Amino acid sequence: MWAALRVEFSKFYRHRATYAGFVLLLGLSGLVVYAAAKDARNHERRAKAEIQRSLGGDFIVSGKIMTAAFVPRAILFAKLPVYVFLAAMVAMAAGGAVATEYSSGTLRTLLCRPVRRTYVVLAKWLVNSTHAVSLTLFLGATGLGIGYIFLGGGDLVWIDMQRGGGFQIVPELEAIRNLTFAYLLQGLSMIAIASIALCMSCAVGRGATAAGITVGFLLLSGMVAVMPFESLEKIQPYLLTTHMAAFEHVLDKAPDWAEIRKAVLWVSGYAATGLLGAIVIMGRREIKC
Amino acid sequence: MEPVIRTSGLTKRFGKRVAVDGLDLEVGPGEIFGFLGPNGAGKSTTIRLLLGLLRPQGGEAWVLGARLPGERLRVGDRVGAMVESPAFYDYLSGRRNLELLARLSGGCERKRIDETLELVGLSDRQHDRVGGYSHGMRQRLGIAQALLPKPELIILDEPATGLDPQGLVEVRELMRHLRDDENMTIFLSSHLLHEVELICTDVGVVSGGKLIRRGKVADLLARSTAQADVQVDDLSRAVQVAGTLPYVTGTEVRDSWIRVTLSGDLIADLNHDLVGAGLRVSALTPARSSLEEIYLTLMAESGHVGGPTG
Repeated sequence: MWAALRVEFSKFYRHRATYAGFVLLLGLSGLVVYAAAKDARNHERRAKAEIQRSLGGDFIVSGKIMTAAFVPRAILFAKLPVYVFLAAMVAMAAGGAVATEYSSGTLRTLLCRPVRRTYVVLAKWLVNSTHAVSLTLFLGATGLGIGYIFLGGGDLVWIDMQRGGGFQIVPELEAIRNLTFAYLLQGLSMIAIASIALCMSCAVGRGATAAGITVGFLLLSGMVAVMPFESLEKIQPYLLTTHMAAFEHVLDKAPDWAEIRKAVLWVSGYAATGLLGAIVIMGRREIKC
Repeated sequence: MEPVIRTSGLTKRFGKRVAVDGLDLEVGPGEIFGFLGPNGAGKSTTIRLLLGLLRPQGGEAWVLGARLPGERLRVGDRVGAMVESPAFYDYLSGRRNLELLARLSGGCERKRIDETLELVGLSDRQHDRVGGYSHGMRQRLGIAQALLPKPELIILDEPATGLDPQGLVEVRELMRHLRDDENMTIFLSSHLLHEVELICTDVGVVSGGKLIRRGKVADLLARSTAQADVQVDDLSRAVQVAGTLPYVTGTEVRDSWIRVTLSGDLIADLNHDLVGAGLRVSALTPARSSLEEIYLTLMAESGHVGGPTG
């Protein structure tokens, strides 16, 4: 197992394409910071007016709203960067893990060696899980880092529009701690996505197909999760995207820990099912290519 | 001695198509066994079954005493293989590819990697990315990775394909070296029948997933030498005389000589009878069939047309 793991890590991190995801995420973080810095004055004026209105006009709001901590939070809450952009990158990497090797013939070369197929799958899963968490944390870290350079530090201030919680101020250090936790939990979500993509990768012959199915599943899950139909509401509690969304509430003033724990269990369940599926399919797969 | 490879009633189907049909085959230790057959005869499928890459629907297969596919890992290091066109990680160097694959076999010393690269003539290009390798170089690297763990048995699928004439000679010498000096048993499929004739000690011919001939190359060639090319002073009379001889099964006039087909190794008798009939025999040469001719005859008998390929 150790040998298979070393081989997989070595192959994965020696491939230039592995770093393309990091470069794209760096670009995304830079773009968000650029937009935030450009729009900072207008945004702060609007936000302060909103805060003042919510306080009944008896207070004068001063200070900085657009801080570094605002960037990773904005990325997380915008959903698309994580649910589509990041998820697609994770799915592409894991989707190609077996399928691309199958179609290129390198899987055949590997399996001619005395190595258990289960170990190959486990090694690929560990590599892709590590990659998924790395990408997620990298997204948050670069958002924060570039934010510090162009926006400076400060408390995290936002208006809770969705839950009607008014404006929230979280001290800088606490905000960074909570953001790290939120990104780690989304890292778990990305492990689940990588596991599903790996399972698909073991079943199909092309990496793009495996990635496409995974992203399609995620998009479908995301759409069903927000559709206001009674019949769909019954399945919403079981959807991956429903539980991924629960992780955002780590940033709440008083997080619902029971809900977050439940989400952790559900997302872990998705990851375990994907991994198990990959092991079973790979064990039975015939290497014709 | 226990066979290195043994299959009994080995069967593999893909949907309705039977790729390997009750194959019974034995390969003994020290043999260089050539596995021949036309496209779709089941050669590559048999090789994949022997390596545990495919599961049979019927019959059994043993490699070095281990039953497949269940016990494949038990003999893992003792078998080296190259299946079809060798596939590697193009973005890594040839050497790095070998290092990674060696790790999966429990690792091997740098010296062994140096040795195998030297053996296949890739030492100079070992640090180049495989993406820049020619087909022949990939083929050499494929052979190198099969040899890495110093196996007792190597299974090579079309090892000579894509090699230049110099490469063919080197592979031929390498195969002999592996058998004679390293005591390896070699199982190879090839469509280069001339190469098989020069390299292999034994051959098996498959057609339609079935083994239709198995034997020592020398025996096959010896059995097919019952032909003679005869140069005489009077060709038409020679044909007439030959036609009366009971052991002559056919005659064919070619330019200034005739090819006489005999029912056995009776060339001396032919000479005696022609001279006895008053003909002046100026040359009598045994016409030796090549493996290719034998193969084509076998294919024609089994109802296959076309040449021997992959």
